Amino acid sequence: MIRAPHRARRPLKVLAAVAFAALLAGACQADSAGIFPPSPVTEQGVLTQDLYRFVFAIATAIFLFVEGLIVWAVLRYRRRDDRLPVQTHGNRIAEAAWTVIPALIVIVLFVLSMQAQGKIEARSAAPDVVVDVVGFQWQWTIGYGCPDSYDSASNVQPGQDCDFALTGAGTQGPDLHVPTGQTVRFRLHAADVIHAFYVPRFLYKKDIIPGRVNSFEVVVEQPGTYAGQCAELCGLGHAGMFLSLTAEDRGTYDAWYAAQVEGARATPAPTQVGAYEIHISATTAAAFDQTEVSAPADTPLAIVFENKDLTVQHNVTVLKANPDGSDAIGQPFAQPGTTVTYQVPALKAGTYTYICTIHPNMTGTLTVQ
Amino acid sequence: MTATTDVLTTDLHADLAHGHGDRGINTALLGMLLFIASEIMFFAGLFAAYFSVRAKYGSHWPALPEGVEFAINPLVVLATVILLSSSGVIQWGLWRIRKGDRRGLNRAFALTMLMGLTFLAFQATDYVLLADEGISLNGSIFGSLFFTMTGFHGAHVLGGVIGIGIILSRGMTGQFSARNHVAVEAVSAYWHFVDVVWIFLFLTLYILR
Amino acid sequence: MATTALSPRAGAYPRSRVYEWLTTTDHKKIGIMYITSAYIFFLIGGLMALAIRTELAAPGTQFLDPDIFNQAFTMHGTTMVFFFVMPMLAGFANYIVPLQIGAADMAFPRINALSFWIIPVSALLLFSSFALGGAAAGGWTSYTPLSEAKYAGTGQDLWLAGLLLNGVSSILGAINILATIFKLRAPGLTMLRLPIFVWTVLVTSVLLIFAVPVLASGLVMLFIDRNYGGAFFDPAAGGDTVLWQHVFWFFGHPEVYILILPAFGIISEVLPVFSRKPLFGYKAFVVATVSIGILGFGVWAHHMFTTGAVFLPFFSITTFFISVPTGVKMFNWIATMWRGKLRFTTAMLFAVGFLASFLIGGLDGAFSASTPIDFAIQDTYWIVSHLHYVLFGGSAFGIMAATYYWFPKMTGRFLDERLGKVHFAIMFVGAHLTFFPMHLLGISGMPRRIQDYAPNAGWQDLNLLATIGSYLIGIGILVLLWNMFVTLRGPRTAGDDPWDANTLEWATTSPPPSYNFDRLPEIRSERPLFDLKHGGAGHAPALAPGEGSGR
Repeated sequence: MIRAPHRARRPLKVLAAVAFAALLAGACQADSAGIFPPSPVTEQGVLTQDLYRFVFAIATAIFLFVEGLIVWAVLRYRRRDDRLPVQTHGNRIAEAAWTVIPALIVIVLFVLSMQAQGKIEARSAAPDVVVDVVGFQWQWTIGYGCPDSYDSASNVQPGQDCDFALTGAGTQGPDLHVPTGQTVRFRLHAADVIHAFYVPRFLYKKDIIPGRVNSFEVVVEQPGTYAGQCAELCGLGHAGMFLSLTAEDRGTYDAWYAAQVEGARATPAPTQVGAYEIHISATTAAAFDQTEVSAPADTPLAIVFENKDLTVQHNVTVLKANPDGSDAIGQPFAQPGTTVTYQVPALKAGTYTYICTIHPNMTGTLTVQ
Repeated sequence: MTATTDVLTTDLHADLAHGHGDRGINTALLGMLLFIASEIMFFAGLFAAYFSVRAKYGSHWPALPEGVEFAINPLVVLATVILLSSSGVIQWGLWRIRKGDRRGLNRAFALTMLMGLTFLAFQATDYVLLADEGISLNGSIFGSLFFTMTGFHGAHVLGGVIGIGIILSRGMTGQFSARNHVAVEAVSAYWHFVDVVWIFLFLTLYILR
Repeated sequence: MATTALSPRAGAYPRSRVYEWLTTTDHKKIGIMYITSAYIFFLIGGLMALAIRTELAAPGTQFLDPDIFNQAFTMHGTTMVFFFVMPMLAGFANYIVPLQIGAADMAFPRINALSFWIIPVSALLLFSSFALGGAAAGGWTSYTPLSEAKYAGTGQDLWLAGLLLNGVSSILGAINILATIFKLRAPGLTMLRLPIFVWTVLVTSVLLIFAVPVLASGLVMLFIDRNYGGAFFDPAAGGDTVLWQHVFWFFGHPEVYILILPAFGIISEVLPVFSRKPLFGYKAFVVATVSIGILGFGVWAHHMFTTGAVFLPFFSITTFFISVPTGVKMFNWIATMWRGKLRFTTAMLFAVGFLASFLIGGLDGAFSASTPIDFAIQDTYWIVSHLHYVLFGGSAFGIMAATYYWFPKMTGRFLDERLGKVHFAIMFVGAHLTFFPMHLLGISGMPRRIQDYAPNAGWQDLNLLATIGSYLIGIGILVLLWNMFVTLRGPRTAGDDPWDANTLEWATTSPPPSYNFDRLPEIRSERPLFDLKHGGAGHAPALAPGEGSGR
């Protein structure tokens, strides 16, 4: 004899359904993470959003229908006596129906997807702006005005070949600018492992793969600043590999571009008079060669950083060294095999930590007394 | 109260356990064929890698370093002939034991073993010669593929040789008969598989390149 | 209590129990060892999951720095796939398939034992890496170049070696199952009378034979790259790094069907018994299972849509189409319940919970089959949600159902039904609470495999919700373990056929004798025991109405 079923089960299913509905309802809020993607800012992203909404509608309809059948069956067909129910073995028409109808639905979804895909992945003959993105462990270098050879070169040095290159300050990564309403082509280069260029508001990402150059085009319709980050596991610093993208009208963009070009050509500021020199070097991305350095208090510091690492950029950032308590971020990054001097304001006595902002595992202690 | 009322004889279990009572292929041989299927898929993965890399390189294949040439060694052609002939020899041995001829089985398997070992010796010599020419596992992608594919094949040949050796030692103590020789069937099937893989390897790596 | 009178009586003679279990070739004992070790690894993988979820509950580093975190999710995935689900399903297959086909044991009992014992050895290789410099940390997918020697240490080598060995176990097991099903069926048991569980295990075994060796070839190539200067996946040396993804996913996609098909089979056993109706559309089910197996080899590059290196339309259409046979199964299962007489035992609850959850996981697939949508959701928490819905809401729920359903057969005791319902309730709520919010996180931009996230991203609340859910799952598992512990200390109360079921494993004692059957009923359909009891397929009912053979 089988035990009587426990009564708690039915209210549980209802509870679960209610919880679902609540979650869904809450999720339909616009700003916080919702069941729908954040509103896209590109022409291409809008196509994706439309497609998503369509698939969502169909999926929801199927979900409600099928879950409804399950819940109905569970409630309606509970055993009430010991007689055998009719032993139906099957039904050809039913089988045909639930084979053909879903097949038709997915064919429709496929066709719609391919149409959208064609537009999203299209390449124009002459994009208005070309931006080269180099992904490396664990930051980005963005090159503007780079040569045509970058179409197929995966290992590139934008700092040397292009009008200018951005690597970003501190841990937030570079802020790359693009003009709104114009076709922007991104070319993606990997310096070491696979990364991925992902801007959630684009509703798009593309892998950055060593040995090949991927590319994609967008037309950003809405001005603003949008966050992006690496979306392919690339090692220890994967979670911190951020970037931001600012879209603005062409005039503002041009002014920004000119300012960057000028900055790239400018000579570096002379070392502060009477600055105390600290020599730090790095040979690998595992650690600085010097992990303990010292300096006198109340004296401006010049950190002469020699990047002996032949493959990766580094810098020296002294945490909480600025008068307002912010970090003295070492800019620009020292390219492989080069030396850069970073100026740090006079410090009060105490111990300070310095890091490489790309490789936070590279740390050292600066003792000031 | 028993749950069953219909009774079947229990001889069934003994028969089924030995794979005899039923029609169709012997159980142990079926196991060997399934194993061979899995081994084919292992080589399929390597072949897929080969062809996909080769397609990427197009006309630059084999992408060997400057001055390095890959040419067919006559030794390898001879080794191929020997290995493929050994399939004929082993099959003949199998036919003989199916007729109950133990002597024929033993002779055939001894000869096959010899031919297999000869193949391996020639293969090893080819490896040394290639290394002298500058083609090695770590020198180029072609080298990586070539040595991995032929190396694993060689390991399988060695495995086959060991299997043949076991058959030979069992056969020489008279353990096989016309009715009872499933191990011989299984090892022969394995040997044929090893040969077929070599045909594909030879055509792909040496002829097609 | 009905038990079959055994003749001859199984003799009991003094023998060390440890030795007995270490050297057994009895498929039932081997099955139990598979299942027990799988549950142990479930706990280990689960602890890793709790660590991950605890870390992600709030922004900032809680207690796991990125190095350990990356190892944690890598080994969580590896453990759950290769040491929990696969061996668990292998264990149930091992125990049940020979019984369901009326055989005395598997075709190759000693190889069966070998297949099991390889598992702990491979686990040793893999888990020793934690103490030897750190485990693999490139995700369970170990994409190159991140897994090459330059970026990954010895842990990666141990991962490769461990999985190679684990793969041998799977392949040998698959060969064994196929030989058993093809050769050792009882007379009258034609292929189209096989229980559906046996069919799903059959197709799974074919998939194993065709897919696992391809993984092996990839593992070997990466090992050669890492240790012998090979150039397979290293672009700097002339290799192709996307090749790894192709080789891995050619295995990896059939692998997910390997993980789910036996669970489909379990559900297909449980639903008919507790609906008191046959499985609706048996033949359609067989066709759907085989179709999934075949189609499953044609979709692999849908994991690579964002690489820019695959032919998108082909893989998109095949991925869309594979939802059709899966949908057929969903409807067939529901039709099985339709107009039945449903008994809500815990096994049945998990089966229905499976339907409800797998539906969501399956519908998720329709989204990611669409390439533009995939460009947005790939490598985000949306995918984490999808994979956990199908693997937890699917495979794990199926495993729970199997546990409650077959526990009486294996041990002669019922798992406590009240505790079982508590377990189900907590786990059902916990699963959805953990994994549903991840859809939202993913679509709003949270990438996967990150140890931390920005406080202003707006992801904190949902992450916290997911973490709470994960702890609920943990509590649910504790309830199950307690249930097992308490039950196993109790008396044997289950007879041969406690659920009034349909298939041959219930036509012998609980647990069965070492040789499985003393007698077999005549087999005229896929429900030989049902026919015997209720008069179907040419039988007159052997028992009067009301004369149950159950408890």
